[in-house]
Amino acid sequence: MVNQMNPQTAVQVNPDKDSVSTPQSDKADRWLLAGALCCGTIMLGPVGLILIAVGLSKLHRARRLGEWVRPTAVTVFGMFALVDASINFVGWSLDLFAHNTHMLQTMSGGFGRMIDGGYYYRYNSTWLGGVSDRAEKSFAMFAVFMIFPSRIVAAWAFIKLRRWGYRWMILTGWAYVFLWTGYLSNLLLNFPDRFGNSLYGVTGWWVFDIFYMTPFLTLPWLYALNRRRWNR
Amino acid sequence: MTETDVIKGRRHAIYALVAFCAVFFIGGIIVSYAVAANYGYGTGFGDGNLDPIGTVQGQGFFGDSAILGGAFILDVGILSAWYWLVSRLEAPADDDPLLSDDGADLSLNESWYFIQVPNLTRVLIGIAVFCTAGVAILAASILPVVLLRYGW
Repeated sequence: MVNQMNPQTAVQVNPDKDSVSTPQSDKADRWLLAGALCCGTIMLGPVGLILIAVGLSKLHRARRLGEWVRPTAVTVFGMFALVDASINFVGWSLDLFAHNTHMLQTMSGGFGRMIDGGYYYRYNSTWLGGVSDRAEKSFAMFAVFMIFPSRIVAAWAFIKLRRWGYRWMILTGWAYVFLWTGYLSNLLLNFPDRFGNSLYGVTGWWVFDIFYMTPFLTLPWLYALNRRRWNR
Repeated sequence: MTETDVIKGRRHAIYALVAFCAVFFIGGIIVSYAVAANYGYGTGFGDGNLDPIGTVQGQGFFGDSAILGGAFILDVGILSAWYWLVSRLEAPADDDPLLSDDGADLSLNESWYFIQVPNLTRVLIGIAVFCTAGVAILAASILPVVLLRYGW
């Protein structure tokens, strides 16, 4: 079956000679990385989106100039995974390491009152500090030390067409699906303290969190790819 | 199994995975509202009960800055450790070589897919772009919204 995605300029490519690193695509990748870093700071998210858009347009221009670049879909899904994992990683690591700061207590208290009561109810009352819900804290440890840092490095390696990047995108994708399942179950089991203890409850939580569906979108697509292309 | 059977099987599995994803989120949302109703909540929008919040107490400008700086260093350390570990454990070697080049024209999109799913890819790309923007904008909006609503 012929792929009917956007037609691209035909470019003669010799894989033995042409490298994944070309001047224009390297420059574009630097914009993409800067964008992901900005998104990872949480507060500079919109700036990060602009930088990512610039990176994508530079890749598009490089393709038009006849330079070999990876397909747009690889960049889009890689960046989606990178941005999502960065925000989760930084957000949860701040709760873990910086819960004694004024900024975190303000942010967490407000977020808890509006979206998820677990983030203000008995905040900083356990020996680990931050969120007091034991299961939420366990998920935070799992997220900060295991899933999200490994997913961040996997997403970047995936974009750079490294074989281990492809493998670990799948591995961390499944781990993220498992996290979603456990996390949602815990939220529902602990309904009165979490959904019920916030202003916008169920609707607010879903409106805020449904965008984190990265692994559910990327896993089917990853299994459609030809893994031979990730051969670096 | 012939190659055609393998391709057909994987294609079915890919679409089954997409269906599972839809069921997961639709089911999750329905169950959430059912649990809310069971606890006596309405739509779940704006009808929650708020407990009193504790006093916000930081460590002063320099104390907070030191904590945030320390958190940043820890984050970089964790990321570096993962990069170091995985890139070495999974490096191509004689017992796990890279797949040989098949001489395909890499400028063509279809060369990058083992299972050709152009329509599904197009839909997923659209959702991915929308979700990337949603994640970044909503996360960035937390602090400004909290400051406007509840103050510092």
